[in-house]
Amino acid sequence: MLNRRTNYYEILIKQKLKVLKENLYLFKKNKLTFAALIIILFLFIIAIIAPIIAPFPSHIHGAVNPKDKLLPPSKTYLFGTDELGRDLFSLVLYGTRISLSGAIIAVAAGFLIGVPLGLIAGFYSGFIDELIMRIVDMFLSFPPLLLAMVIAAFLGPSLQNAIIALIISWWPWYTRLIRGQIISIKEREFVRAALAIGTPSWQIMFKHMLPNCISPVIVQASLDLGGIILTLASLSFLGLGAQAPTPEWGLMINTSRTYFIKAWWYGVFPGIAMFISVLCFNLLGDGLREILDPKTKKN
Amino acid sequence: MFNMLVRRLLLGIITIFGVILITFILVRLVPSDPAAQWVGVKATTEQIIAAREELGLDKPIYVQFGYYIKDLLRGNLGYSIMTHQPIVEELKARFPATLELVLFSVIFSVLIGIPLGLISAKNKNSWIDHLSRFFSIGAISIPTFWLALVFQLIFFMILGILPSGGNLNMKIKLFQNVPHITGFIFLDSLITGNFVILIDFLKHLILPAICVGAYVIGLVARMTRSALLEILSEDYIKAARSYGLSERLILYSYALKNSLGPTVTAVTLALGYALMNTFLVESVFSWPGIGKYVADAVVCLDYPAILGVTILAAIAYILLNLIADIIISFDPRVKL
Amino acid sequence: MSNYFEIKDLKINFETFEEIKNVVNIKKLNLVKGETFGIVGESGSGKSVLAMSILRILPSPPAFIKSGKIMFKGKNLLELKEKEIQKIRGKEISMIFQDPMSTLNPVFTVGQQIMNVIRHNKHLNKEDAEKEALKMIKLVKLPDAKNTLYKYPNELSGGQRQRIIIAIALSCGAELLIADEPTRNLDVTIQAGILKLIDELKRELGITVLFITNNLNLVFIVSNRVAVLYKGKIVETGTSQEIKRQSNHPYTQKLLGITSVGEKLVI
Repeated sequence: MLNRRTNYYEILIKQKLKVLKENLYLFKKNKLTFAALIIILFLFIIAIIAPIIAPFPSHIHGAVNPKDKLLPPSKTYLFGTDELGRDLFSLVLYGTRISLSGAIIAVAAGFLIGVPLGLIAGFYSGFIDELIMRIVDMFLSFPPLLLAMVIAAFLGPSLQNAIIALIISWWPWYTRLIRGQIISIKEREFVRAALAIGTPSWQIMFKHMLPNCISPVIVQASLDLGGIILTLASLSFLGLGAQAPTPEWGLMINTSRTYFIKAWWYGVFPGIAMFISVLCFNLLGDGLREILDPKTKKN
Repeated sequence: MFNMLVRRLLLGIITIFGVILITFILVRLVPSDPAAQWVGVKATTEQIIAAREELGLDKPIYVQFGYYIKDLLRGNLGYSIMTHQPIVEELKARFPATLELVLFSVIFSVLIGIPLGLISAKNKNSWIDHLSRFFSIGAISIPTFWLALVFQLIFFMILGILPSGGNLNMKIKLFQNVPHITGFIFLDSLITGNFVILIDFLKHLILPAICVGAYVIGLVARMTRSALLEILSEDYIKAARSYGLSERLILYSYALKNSLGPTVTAVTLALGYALMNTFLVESVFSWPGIGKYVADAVVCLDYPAILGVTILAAIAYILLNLIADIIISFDPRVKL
Repeated sequence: MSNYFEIKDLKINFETFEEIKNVVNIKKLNLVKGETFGIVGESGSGKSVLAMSILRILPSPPAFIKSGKIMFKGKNLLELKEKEIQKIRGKEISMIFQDPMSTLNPVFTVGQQIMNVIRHNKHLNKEDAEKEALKMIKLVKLPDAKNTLYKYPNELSGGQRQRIIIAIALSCGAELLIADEPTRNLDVTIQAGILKLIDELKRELGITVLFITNNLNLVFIVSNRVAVLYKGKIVETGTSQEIKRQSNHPYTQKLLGITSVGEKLVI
């Protein structure tokens, strides 16, 4: 008896290892994606240890150095200083925290709201499906940034409200995506079989159906991380997100416009940081899509 | 076909109504007092009460909504708190500039993006493919407003060859008679043969257009590539090859027609994003369009203006999607 | 007498990231002009790979032709350049596939699809091509030829689609037809119709047919000579009579013991 069970687990483990090896190989084959992953890990580390590696951590909280304002990049101030005399390098480092955490919170919340709703809509169909999808359609009928802009404007400009606005704007995409997936696998036999033997609905939804259709949503989420960083920065740029003196990249770029002629370097560095972050998230998401896409496994 | 149109139109109208309702409620939920904003900071209490009456804010909320809808149907979007002008007039004045910018950007980007995706798909996994994929992902990763600033930096401040903003030189605007037939500077100057204005306009147009278009190029190229790759792996392509058809014929005649659906979807999506990017770019380049208007309205928290633009944008977006659906329905596979 | 069609020492590999697998290893296979030659094997035996390698439409990667010759009328097909093999495809050697729905382009009418091939291969103008297309549709015994031209693939039945595919394949005068499991996706009654059609066309047009299937019964009915394929290798060849009566290979004998191939055999 014991032998059979251990054999079963052996086979299971061997299978999982094989899948892992496959995925790692694909990952390594796509060197760009791998590099992007490394850089992202690097960014996360920077975000976490920012207070330690920033040369002037006190500047974040508004310690002002008026005589050092708007200095060009130098050995002391790697990226130069802003109009309050704060070290731009430290500010950009802290900005990593804000952008990354903001993006993760927004995507995670949107995901946690949108996916269950989509599951329910797809599974139960009928009236509740129509209701949820009408609401989703209404939200999706806005051009992407506009909805976030309007909500942020009405909630009052602040970083938190911007993130809330993003969550509200983003969740419908996940709902629609997952609902489409659910509908396409609802007719498959394993679902019918589970229903026939009386499995409770929520179990079918979460244990059986969800794992099968989660990959496109995961790909979308990882791609969205990049997009949300950009949108959050755009909101701050327009004055609807982070407010001074928060070191948010978009806000910094906006502030730099006033001092464009005197200190052109001001806005350049936060932008480069943002570009690299978003680029890496997009590369990662793209690579994940290649790996997880069942169609490319057709061979 | 007709049934589908009617159904979509109805759906669209309901959605627009929902949008108006939501935005209207949002405005009323705002803690600040619109009447106080209207009369300004230094107002007296009587002025505020008078304004409240004038604006109809003392009536119950559903009555206010009724008035609002009535006004909307008559084409009245209310008055801007910033400028105290009718919003419709302000939007009408700025609309052509935004439209010109968006149209140029999108056309130019699609003309670049689709061939890029095509070449990428045709030469899958070659160095051309990898390069263009990297470029596409880069294009959608760049923060548009930052790109705008960098462009200003390089081309205006350092090189001095392109203007820093506006859509026409101030001197031309003030001293020359800018023709105003269609409201579109490009067309008007072309029609009247005024090439000085035309060239000046193009000089002002190029940087903003590239900024708005960068994201679009990346998006369209990627979607074209993936659509084509999927099509090229289909059985009917394999069969077409077995009949001896040349690769060129297969790619341009067969595969392209099959990719109409996804391409139209991509371009529609791109237009939506382009519209949003335009808002940001107009701010940086002081392009006199709706985007700048909205950006300013947002800073002053001019809610009626924001509301007006939101409704306009939502309507435009819904119309766009409707047109896209109509085009897609020409695909014989789509069951109506 | 020089052989009409001969395969010699053909080795084809499938290369994935994990391993290199040999899927076809054929020492010798030849066709006589005018016969129907059947290749029978179960799924995974390499028959489709073999078929596609003749016209060189194998997706490469992951498939690679490692060595061998495919001689057709004295020319080695594997050595021809792309432009030259294009001249052979459709005009001298043609192919029909298993799934008629996916083999037709869904956004073009069947008339357009036939005409595209005819115009490209025979350089005819639109009117002449249409006449040719009508001729072909009538040849495959489809009623109401004129209206069929304007139908889309999803408006036709499975059997009708397969006839259209046969029409396209034979529209430009091909003399060797490779039929890769052409009736597998069709109902049994429709199957009979298609097989009869292929037989008639063979006699009317004088073509040679290479018939690939996994159905043992079918292959004996349709073919003059048969080769049995197992894991990429030919394990037995002979006329249908010979093999049916006394096959020499244990695999064939096992096959004969079951009515249709497709079950996993352990040898």
